Amino acid sequence: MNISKHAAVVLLLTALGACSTNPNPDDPVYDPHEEFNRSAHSLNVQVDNAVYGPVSRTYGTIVPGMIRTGITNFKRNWENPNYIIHYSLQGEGELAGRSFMRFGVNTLFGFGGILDWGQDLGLEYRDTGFDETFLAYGVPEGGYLELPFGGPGTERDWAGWALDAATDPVYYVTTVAATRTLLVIAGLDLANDRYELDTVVDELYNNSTDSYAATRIAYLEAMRASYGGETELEALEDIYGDVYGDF
Amino acid sequence: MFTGISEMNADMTIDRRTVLTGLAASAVALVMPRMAFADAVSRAQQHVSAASAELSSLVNSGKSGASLYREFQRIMSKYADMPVVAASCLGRDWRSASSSQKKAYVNAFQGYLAAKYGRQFGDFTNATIQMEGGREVKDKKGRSAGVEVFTTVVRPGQENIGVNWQISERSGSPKAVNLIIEGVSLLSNERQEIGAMLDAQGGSIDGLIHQLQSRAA
Repeated sequence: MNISKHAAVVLLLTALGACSTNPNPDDPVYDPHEEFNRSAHSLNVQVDNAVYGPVSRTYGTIVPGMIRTGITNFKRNWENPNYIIHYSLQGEGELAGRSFMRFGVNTLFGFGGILDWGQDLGLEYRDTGFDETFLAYGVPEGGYLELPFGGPGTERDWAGWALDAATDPVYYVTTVAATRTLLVIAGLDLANDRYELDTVVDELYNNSTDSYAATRIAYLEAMRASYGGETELEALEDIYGDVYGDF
Repeated sequence: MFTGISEMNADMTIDRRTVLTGLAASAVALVMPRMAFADAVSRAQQHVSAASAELSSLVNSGKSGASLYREFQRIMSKYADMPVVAASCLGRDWRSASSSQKKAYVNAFQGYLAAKYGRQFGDFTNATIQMEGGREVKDKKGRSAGVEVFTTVVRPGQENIGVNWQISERSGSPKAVNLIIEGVSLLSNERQEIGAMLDAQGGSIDGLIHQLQSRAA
């Protein structure tokens, strides 16, 4: 596992160097790997219909919401050490401090993070990682990249994802048993995410005329918005001007 | 010398008057658009509040299927400028459509949209919509794009969802022209979907209308 992790880091650092810039900034979609992406997408839809979707629905139906929320809280709590590092790298002192407080409060008073008291204290969950650190240092988003078994992303997102997996400090300071537990927890949380988004995923994957393109635009817009908080002004259009004017 | 001072005084008087008038004018100029702006923002917020109230009661009405979609479509056409939204999603092809095609397309589009989003209402039982303020917005070309009203949909035991409403008064009264759900614009997604449907119909608007009608149930 360590070897494959390191191989992934080397590969993705190379890929990151190659994070390409959208030659047409007016077009929100930059998709230089479309052919590859489309075949990955059709595989992903099949896997989702056969395995991921049904397993997640079973999990969501059988396991009560309170327990699923506890698992999600726990997983998110143990991501805080990594968030603190990344917010510091991004120069986001306040967010680093908030992650630190969340981690302290939820670990000490929330049974290791099963209960999210931070939320009630106004310290809302906000995730970060290499993707956002890259953004802070001006690394371009790169082309859209849908990976087999991985789902939608961009070149920058996937490089960040691999580095996050390889460098999370929690995995280096805990025991093997704790690491395995956290991996199982992460898997259950993935099932919960899929369960909670079931109608949205079903709509994109199974009811869209071009499911690949529908997923792509939804992913890109949600990803871009997740960094800023405010709607990008480009998303707001004067549709009257367009309809009655020049399109 | 005396004349000089008197001239100076006269100049100063004029200066003071000019300055005062100028100040008053710029105060008016500064305040007026803000008042108009504040009004547009508060009108937009009231519009979203009213729409939210009707949507909440529909979600919790226990209605489902065709009767839910019908009611949803009524609320949409009351609070949103559906013909303009529909036209914008069709893009350039709107121009080449005949007026009867336009009418049929706008109707079919609304039925399709009501069913597509109505199907997801089950996820929002007991949800409440919190108002979070608003701001005036411009588009990329610097044209006014109306007001963006921020809301949070709070669902018991589940993640909050950020929903931003773009409200325009270009039709004469406040109407929603777009929804941005967790950053995802309904317009750009529907434009993508309508474009793909039109392609699948070989560019035939009648084919598209037929396809939309078949997805309205």
